[in-house]
This record gives sequence, C-alpha cells and structure tokens, in this order.
Amino acid sequence: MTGVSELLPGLLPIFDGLGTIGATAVYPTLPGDGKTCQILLAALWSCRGLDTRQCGRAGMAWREMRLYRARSVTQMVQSGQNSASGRPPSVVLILSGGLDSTVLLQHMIAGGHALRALSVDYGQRHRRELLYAHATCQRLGVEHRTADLSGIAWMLAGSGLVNPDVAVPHGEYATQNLKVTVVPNRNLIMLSVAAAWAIDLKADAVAFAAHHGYHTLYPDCTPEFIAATAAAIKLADWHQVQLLAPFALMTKAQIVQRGAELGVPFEQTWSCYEGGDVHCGLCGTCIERREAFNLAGVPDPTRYQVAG
Amino acid sequence: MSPLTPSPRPKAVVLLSGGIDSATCLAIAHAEGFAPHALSFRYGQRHVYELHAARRVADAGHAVDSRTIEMDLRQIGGSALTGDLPLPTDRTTAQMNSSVAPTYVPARNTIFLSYALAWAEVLGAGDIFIGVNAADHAGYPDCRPEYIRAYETMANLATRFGTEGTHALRIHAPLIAMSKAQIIRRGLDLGVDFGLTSTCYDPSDDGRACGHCDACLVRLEAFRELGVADPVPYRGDRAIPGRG
Repeated sequence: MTGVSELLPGLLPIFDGLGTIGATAVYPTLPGDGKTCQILLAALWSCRGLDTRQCGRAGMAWREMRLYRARSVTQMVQSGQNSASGRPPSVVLILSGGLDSTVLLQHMIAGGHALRALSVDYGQRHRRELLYAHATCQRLGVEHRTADLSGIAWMLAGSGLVNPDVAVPHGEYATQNLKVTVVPNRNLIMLSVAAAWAIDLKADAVAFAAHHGYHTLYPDCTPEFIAATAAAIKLADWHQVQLLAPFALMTKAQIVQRGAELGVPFEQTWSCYEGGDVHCGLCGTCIERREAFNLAGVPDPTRYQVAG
Repeated sequence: MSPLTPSPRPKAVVLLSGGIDSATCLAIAHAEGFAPHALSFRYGQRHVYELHAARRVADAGHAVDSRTIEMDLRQIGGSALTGDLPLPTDRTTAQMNSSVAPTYVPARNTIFLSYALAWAEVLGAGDIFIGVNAADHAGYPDCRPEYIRAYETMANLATRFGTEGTHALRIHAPLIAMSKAQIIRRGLDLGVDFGLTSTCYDPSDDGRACGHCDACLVRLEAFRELGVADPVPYRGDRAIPGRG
C-alpha cells in the first residue's frame, strides 16, 4: 500500500491519463492553493502491459501501481471545466439506488457536473432499489432512465430451464441470490449500456460507483478492469466517452463519510439484497452497510429487520 | 474412459444476427472444433425478421444451443435501426463510407460482447466469436480491430477466467480483414446456406429483402462480384439479384 495513503481520499481516477473532467468529479473540496498532489494514473500503469495476474489478485494493484506526480490541483480543477463550450461536463451516472451510487451522484453534482442517471432492471430480487433511485433523481432534479435488461434472467436459471424466447416475469428467481457473483459480468453490461446512452447524448463521461474493498470477490470492480474498460469504451465510437470511477480507491466507510459531508439522506438509499420492506440486517450487503457506518463514525439511520 | 472417446468440443459463444457475416462466423467456429452456442438479440431493431433467420442459421450451423436476449435499447438510442428515422436507400459506396452509418446503434457491439461474456462465464466457455469485418470498419467504430483487442484485454480483467489465470479468454473475429465477397466465398466453402440468412434492414413481413438499403446493396454487390446468385428472395425490382 506504499504511496496510496499519500493520496487524498478519492483523488484519483482519471483513468485515461488526460486529467480532464475527473478531477472535479473526485473531490470538489480539493485545496485550491496549487499544492501538487500525486495522481495515480491507472491507465498509464495498465498500458505498460504489466501482467497483473503475476501479482496476485487482491494485492496486485497496490504493489505495482505507479504514482505519477502530476499537475497541480488547481490546474486539475480548472481543466475540469469544458473550456471549449463553457458548459459543465455532462455525465451519465449508473445509479443503483444504493448508498454508493447515491453518494456519488450528489458528489458529482457538488462538483459541478451535469448529471443524468441510468438504472438497470435486470430482474433483480431487490427491485426496491430502483424505486429509491427514481425517488433520489426526483429529489435532485436529475433526469433518470431505467434500461430494461431483465432479458438476462435466463442466464441465471441454468441452461435449458427457461425458454429463451419467452420473456421471464420479474421475481421469477426469488430463491436465487442475485449477487454480482451470480449476475455474471453485471458491471460490464451496465457500463456498456451507459456508454451507449452517453454516446447517443454526446456526453463527456460515464461514471459508476465502484469502490475499494471487494475486489477479490468481484473482478469487475478492480482498477485495472476500470482502466481497460475505459480504453475499450473510448474506441467504441468516434465520440470519445471517458469512464470515471471517483470512488475506486475509497472504502465504503469513506463513501459514508463523504455522504455525510454532502448531507446525503442515507435512509433514502437501499442496499439489501433480500427485497423486503426494510433492510434485513443479515445479508452481505446489509452487514457491509452497517459496518461502513460504524467505521465512519456516522449515525446509521437505516431501519434493519434484525438489529446489529 | 476409452482412449477412443473423443474429447468434447470446447464451448464457444457465437454472436449471431442471422446475416451473412455471423452465419459464416458460426461455420468457422464449428470448423475450428468448437461447440458453438449462438446468441442473438432482440433490441428493438426494426428488422426483427433477422431473428427468424438467426434461428434457422443456428439450427443449420451445428449450434448446440441458441438463445435470444431481449432488451430494449430504444430508451437510450435514436438511430434508424431502433428509432423511427427514415432508412437511406440506393446510396453509393462513397455515400455509405462518408460518415458513421445512420443505422449505427451506439456501443452495440460493446453491449453484445458484454452479454456474450456473461454467457461464456456461465457456460465455462473461453472463446467468443464475432463477425465484424473490414466492410464495416468505416461506418461502425466498434468493428475496428483495435476496438476488438481493447475489448479482449478488458474481458480478461472482468471475469474470473482472466483474473484467476486458468486460461485467457479470447475474442475471435475471424472475418476482420475480409471483404463481403471473401466472407461469402469462405462461407460457401464451409457449406453455409446463405438462403437462410437475412441481411435487409427493411424486409417485408415474410422476409423478402428490399434490395435498396445499404445492407442489401452491399450484399448484392458481393454476390455479383463472385458471380454467384443470391439465394434470398427480394421484392419488387430486385427480384432478380444483381444490379448494374
């Protein structure tokens, strides 16, 4: 972890190395005194052709990532504005309705971005999160769309059990645990749909709330994955869309802290995978949520079925 | 196990639209020894007839499984394929190449490949076939070789396959340097029945091609170049294939 702790929390992910709109997305309260910060350019590191598999899955990034002494914070923040048109950078943000993406939405609004939010209905058991996503966008006055990708459901049912040409009703898989580990490749599918919308809008970037902490479980949350996805998305169209993951190096507790600073109404976010009326308090995401509040020292307003 | 028991064919996911390119791609996957699993998409395209063609092509092309993903991209895109924009007709090659095709669906291949990758992971397949080719490079940025390579790099980081290092996940684009005529030639050599395919962006309900959209024009030209009759039915003045 050498070097990483020297970074300001959340200051980082300008994965294309161009340092344009990422900086303001990262931390709107950056010191404006021109103090030089160390910026981690994961893309540069990734482009060096390093075989990350040699480094072990979880620890890899931190040992091998290179820190690049980059331009001053002031420059970064200034370059965050689109000087050509004078308009704020426009971003399509993947909003699940959970804690992380809701904090990210408010974080980026505070950073002066023009936001649109995309949610994805993939037939998840915890569809309640989509209602929270919608309510959050109404509260913040953000345009919100939900892409219906529930057609992926047959993949989750095991081959041959479901007629692939018949639309599967929602809630069919109530007994399945729709964690990322069961929804294969979920982040990539959501990112590709978000990129499609961003390209269609001629937006500047796609943002999502990948964060540090569960990389070994979910390979599609790692910094190298994000950097490689950014590279692919930029090649997917003549209009180049950047990929921003401002929380990529932050823990969930740090996200809670950031949310508290921003006054995020945490009770209006949904994490539980169980799909009940209140958070169950027992599933993996509930445990992670509760732990994050504890670590952050922020009061947890969530009502849990089973108290901690 | 008897030493004579043939080792099972490794599984591969093949993106199958029901057109010439993907039909040939499917045949190549099978010829290379894979057990093809065909994946098609109903994404709000106006030429939904191609899905019938995809099913026929899959059945004829030794696909061991063929599936369709339903998704609605109309909320996030406005191109002629999914929206209500008029389709251009009777354009010259120069006109077709002058800009991003009006039939372009943003990031379509990114989305398709992402689903293919998901299915590959479920199946335990390490290979994905996609029929992108040289003819498409100009109009479709996500048909370029550099895009496919970037996607492959990312795919190896996105999945357990890649990150656990058991073996690399490969995106095969066997047609990537071929012209349309070369693709048809290769398909014919592999026994592909192009009469089962559908290329037209605006076919009639019974699947007869218009003969005037960009896709029909490119197809007709390629068959003409080969001196081979296009076996699919056309309507109206294109009933007899070939032009000029």
